[in-house]
Amino acid sequence: MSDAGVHPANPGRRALSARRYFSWVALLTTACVAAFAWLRPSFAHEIRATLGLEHPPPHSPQSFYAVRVAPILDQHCRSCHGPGRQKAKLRLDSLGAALRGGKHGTVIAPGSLANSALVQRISLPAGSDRLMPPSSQSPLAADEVTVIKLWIAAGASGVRPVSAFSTAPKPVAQVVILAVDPKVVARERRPVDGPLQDLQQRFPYVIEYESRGSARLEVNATRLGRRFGDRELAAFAPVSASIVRADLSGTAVGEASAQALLAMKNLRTLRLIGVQEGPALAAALASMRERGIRVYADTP
Amino acid sequence: MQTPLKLVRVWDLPTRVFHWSLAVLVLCSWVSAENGLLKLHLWSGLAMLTLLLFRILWGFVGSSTARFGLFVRSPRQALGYLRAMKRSEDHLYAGHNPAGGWMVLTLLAVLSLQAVTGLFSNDGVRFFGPLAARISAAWSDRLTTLHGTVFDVILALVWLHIVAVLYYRHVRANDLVVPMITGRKPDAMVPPGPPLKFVALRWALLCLVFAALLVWWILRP
Repeated sequence: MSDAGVHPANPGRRALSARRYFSWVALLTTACVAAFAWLRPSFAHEIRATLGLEHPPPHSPQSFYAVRVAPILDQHCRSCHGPGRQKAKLRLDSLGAALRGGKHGTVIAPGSLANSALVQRISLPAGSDRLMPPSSQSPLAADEVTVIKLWIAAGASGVRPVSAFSTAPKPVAQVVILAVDPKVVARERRPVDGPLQDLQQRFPYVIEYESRGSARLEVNATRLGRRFGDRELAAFAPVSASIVRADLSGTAVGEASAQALLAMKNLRTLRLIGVQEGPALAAALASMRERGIRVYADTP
Repeated sequence: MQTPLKLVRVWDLPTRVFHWSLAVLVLCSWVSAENGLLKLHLWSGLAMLTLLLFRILWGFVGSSTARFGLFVRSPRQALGYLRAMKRSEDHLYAGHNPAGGWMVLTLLAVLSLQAVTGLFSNDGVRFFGPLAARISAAWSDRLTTLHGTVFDVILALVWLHIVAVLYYRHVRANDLVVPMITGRKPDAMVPPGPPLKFVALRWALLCLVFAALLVWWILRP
């Protein structure tokens, strides 16, 4: 059969030439890809990135975006719109990606809060199905929403400095909880472990580590009452530098324990309610208060 | 005066209903996913899984043109067919041609993978596939990502399928669409040979019920 003409087995039909047909296919395919790229900015980005034509927007580490906005997006959005997972093909873990948008189009319209889907979604009333982050995750604080709105209203810039946003709510102090490294903890505990075990056998439930990730010790001798005195406290000398909290209320410790208490160089809190204070003990407690240790005793 | 075309039956009703139902379900799954209608997406996916299981069964017990044993040829034969087509040689087949047979297998495999990964997927917020709780969250996330990627492959395969079907219609003057609706082809487009065998409809219904029960059994709590 020739490229164009009549099919021998079906003479009723005229045929297109293969060249013309595939030209149409190429044209239609290109149109479809272009329509996809137009409807889905993330798809266009993938094509540009593949061709090496993607240029990230200018940004600086001192910008309002980097200092105030990015941490909010990282904390609340990154788990679903970050490197691990891209819900709706949207990433919010970089300025370029955030400005590019997802499969439903752009979510940030620089300078326009009304046209920014991101602002609309984080500003919905609690309980709304479309609220972001979803109800299963912690919502944005009012100040965080304000920060994002100010940034978008001012043009969603990656370079405008923090000082340009004088009306932005003050940042909240960040609390950093360090991850516990069991190897480091074990190494720090090594000098204390031996004497601690001896003490725990001799005085059950009186001395413990303050937490699973700490090598510091807590002492609570209140359950032993008057059976715990100066001689017993002296037995804690090998670990005294590691003790950070001690509750000796109602025990029989007295004047002879003044030096033992002063040897607890890292002590932060001492309770001695119901303990008789002689001059030596009172002087020791005064000295400890001067060092900033919180001392709770019958005499202030 | 032109003589009326003599038509020959080539496709049975179950295969045709399967083909068009699958096309509708792929479209329905796409639209429902794009618009967040995940309950509809789930039912569409389950219906697709049932149909795919049915088609696999039908490929072993169905009519001549539906059977894998008759339309799946070796890759060498499929390549030979494509080369012959490039030389504008015509080879007639009552059902799937050797290249089309491989396209059918590929689509069945990819759509099955899509349906199965969908069972384990989650949207991280409100939707969890019926089997998502049976694997770890990390694996569910991985399969969710795969579910999204495989869909792009399906789109490409569907596009290729449509391009090929239209190629036959407009370049080779061999309409594959109307026979897939009516089940009949012009006599001149069917190679001579022993008559095709058609299996009774009740066997198709039995296969469909079996497939539905299998899906129900897989998803039972």
